[in-house]
Amino acid sequence: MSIYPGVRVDSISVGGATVHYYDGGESESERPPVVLIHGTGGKIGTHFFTVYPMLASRHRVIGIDLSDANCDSEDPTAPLTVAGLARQVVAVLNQVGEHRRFALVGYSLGAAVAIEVAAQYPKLVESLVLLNGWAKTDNALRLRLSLWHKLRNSQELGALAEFMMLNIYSRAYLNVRKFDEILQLRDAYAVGPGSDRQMALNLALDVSDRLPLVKARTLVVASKYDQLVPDAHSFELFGGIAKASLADIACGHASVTERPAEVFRLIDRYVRDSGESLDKLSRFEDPSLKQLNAFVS
Amino acid sequence: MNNKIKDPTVVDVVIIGTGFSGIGMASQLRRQGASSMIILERAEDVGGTWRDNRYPGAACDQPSHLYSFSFRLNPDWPSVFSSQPAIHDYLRTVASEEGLLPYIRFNQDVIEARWDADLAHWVVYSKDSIYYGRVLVSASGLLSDPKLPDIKGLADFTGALFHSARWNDEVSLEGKRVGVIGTGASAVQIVPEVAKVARHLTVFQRTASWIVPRPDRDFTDAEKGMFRKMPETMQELRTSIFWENEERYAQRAAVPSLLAKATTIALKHLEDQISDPELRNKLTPDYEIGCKRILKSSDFYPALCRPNVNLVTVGIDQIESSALVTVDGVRHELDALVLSTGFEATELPISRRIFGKDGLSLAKRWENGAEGFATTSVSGFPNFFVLGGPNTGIGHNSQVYMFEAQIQHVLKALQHMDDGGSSMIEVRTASEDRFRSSLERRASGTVWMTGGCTAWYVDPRNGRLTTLWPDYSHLFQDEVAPFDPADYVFEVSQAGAL
Repeated sequence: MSIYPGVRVDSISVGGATVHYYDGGESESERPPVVLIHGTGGKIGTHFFTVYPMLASRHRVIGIDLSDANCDSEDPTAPLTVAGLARQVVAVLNQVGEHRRFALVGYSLGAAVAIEVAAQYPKLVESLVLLNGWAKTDNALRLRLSLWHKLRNSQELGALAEFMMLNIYSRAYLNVRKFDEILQLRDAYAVGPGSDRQMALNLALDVSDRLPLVKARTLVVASKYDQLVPDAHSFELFGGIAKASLADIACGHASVTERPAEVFRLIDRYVRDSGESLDKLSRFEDPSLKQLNAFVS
Repeated sequence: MNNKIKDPTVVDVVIIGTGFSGIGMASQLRRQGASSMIILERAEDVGGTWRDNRYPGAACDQPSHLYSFSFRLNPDWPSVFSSQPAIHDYLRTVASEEGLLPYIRFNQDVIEARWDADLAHWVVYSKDSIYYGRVLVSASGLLSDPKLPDIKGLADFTGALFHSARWNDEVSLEGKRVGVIGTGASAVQIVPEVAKVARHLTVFQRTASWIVPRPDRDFTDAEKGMFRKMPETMQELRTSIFWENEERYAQRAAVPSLLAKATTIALKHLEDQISDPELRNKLTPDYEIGCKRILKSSDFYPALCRPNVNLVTVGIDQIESSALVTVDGVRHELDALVLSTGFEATELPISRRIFGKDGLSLAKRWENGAEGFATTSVSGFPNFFVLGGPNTGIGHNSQVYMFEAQIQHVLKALQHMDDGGSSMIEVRTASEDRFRSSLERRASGTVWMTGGCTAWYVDPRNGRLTTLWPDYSHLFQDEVAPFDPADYVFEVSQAGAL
């Protein structure tokens, strides 16, 4: 089933990589199209299963399925690089709209890719949204990723599933479900496409020297209960990017599946704004729940 | 009017109703320092829906930490989905602690409210009193008047007979043969409770409902203590419930992939709880999910599996003394019959009693479909605001959230009138037209218009979606709460000086 009615599925070859993308939705004005870049082990149809159609009801949305082939090397199995993944994104952007500017949304590893695109191809980027991203893999993250590799190689899929559920879901998300459902989720777990090669990239990921090069206005979204990539990583992105605003969501690393509506709301509001009022704000707070609490007319 | 009429009361604002919307409106006016205000209540107690719907099992299908006022979070909610007594208590507490009781006039059913252009005031009549209000706020609710089924012989039924929203406590159902007509939101709460005490329960279903699990549980004392000592944890819970609800809106906005996901959840719930294939078949809806209200229940299906309960899907023919006869000729002998048949929803009940400029009733004004600018004001009805009226219903989120957005609009309008010394405010028709087109454009793609069911969401007279808000709730706040004076005409005159 298509991710959104009327969506156009296309692809482009970049070096030895074939990159598929989903171009759909409509905008009521000339706003920049929204570009979605998934994270490790993801596809548009998984990480953005709900966020894509939500955004597409109001924006033109281009969702990119990154290839796990190295597009810069004659050997497609050479290790992935952030620069190479960024080239895949740029190839799609050039194909869908020459001379256009885009609102780039990157989730997790996709945030690093979006940073790279914004730093190296500033003319393509109108604005940036970084969900659960990080600039440089630190010791805590290295330990988690090292354990991931050990479990991955042990063939203990159940243990790997439990470890990943602990990493990506918040306590609240797990606790509103019966334990039977949790076990079903565990048993249904499959290692996402591209995980092995993307995890190898994650282990040494470092885009910290790109942050000063990002000139586009940027919304950094931190998840308060992100255990895989704790919110302090987002605080550093916020600190390192000149025109950044910071928002937070009270959920785990899997913000796009735990809280798709809140993620949609933040993106929609941020990219709709012309930017002038937001440039001055460092904290991007959503007023939806304030209502009559301390209301002053 | 007769000679029993007391001296008229003249106030700045007259509010009709003490449900969530009326209490919310009045609380905010009090907090702003207003004291020239009267709240008219037709019953002897506050609470609206939560006073009237006190059938066994009555509860809200929105979690209480969201289904409550933003300015009165409550750490003591007993469970995730609190039951009617807890919600009613909450409203009574709010009315009392916000200092509203001196302003409420009980047993004052509004017979008529009429705009007096010369006085620039509303004149509101009850059976024994007259109230003059510069501003009239209708907070009288949409689902407030029971709808009775049109069944031949109903009036001659010899057993006990009552509507779910007018539950008769004097009738014990213990050991009785009970019938429940309907399988909507009230029925799925009533059936499990009645099934526990009745000798036999027959449930008459016209249309199967889509039902999803209702993961209720009691809050522990430790959690309540945490909410009390750390209110930010309560706010965080409220926020998470809100956004999870907003995700459900997308499941109803006719996106096939998301509708499929919602359908899978509901069908799995049915399969998990009903093993009999024939019963499962009867309970499987034949229309798209979300077209009618999606119900939450984890005990309705199990109740139908009890040996003393049966589900009848054959149409009702008539009632003959103590029996309900279905069209297949079967007689169902009953000691009591509960009408769980919903509410009058196409026409706002109060609309026949409100008369604006040139004596036009609100019902007449709305005969081609109820509508309001920002859902709240109506041209031809100066100094009048309606809460919980057209396009404010919400299936996937908290109704209180919608009321609060409207109340913000009204407060800003009243503030603007005060600032400019205006005696009169009326919405511009151009603004109404703009708002209407925007709603119609959005409604056209939704499951309510395309899903192949008949629901009270759509006005049968004209096919317009007049009761529901056809978008996310957070956009209702975005669009309804702001107030732009350019949408209104103001008059400054001395005529209003009563």
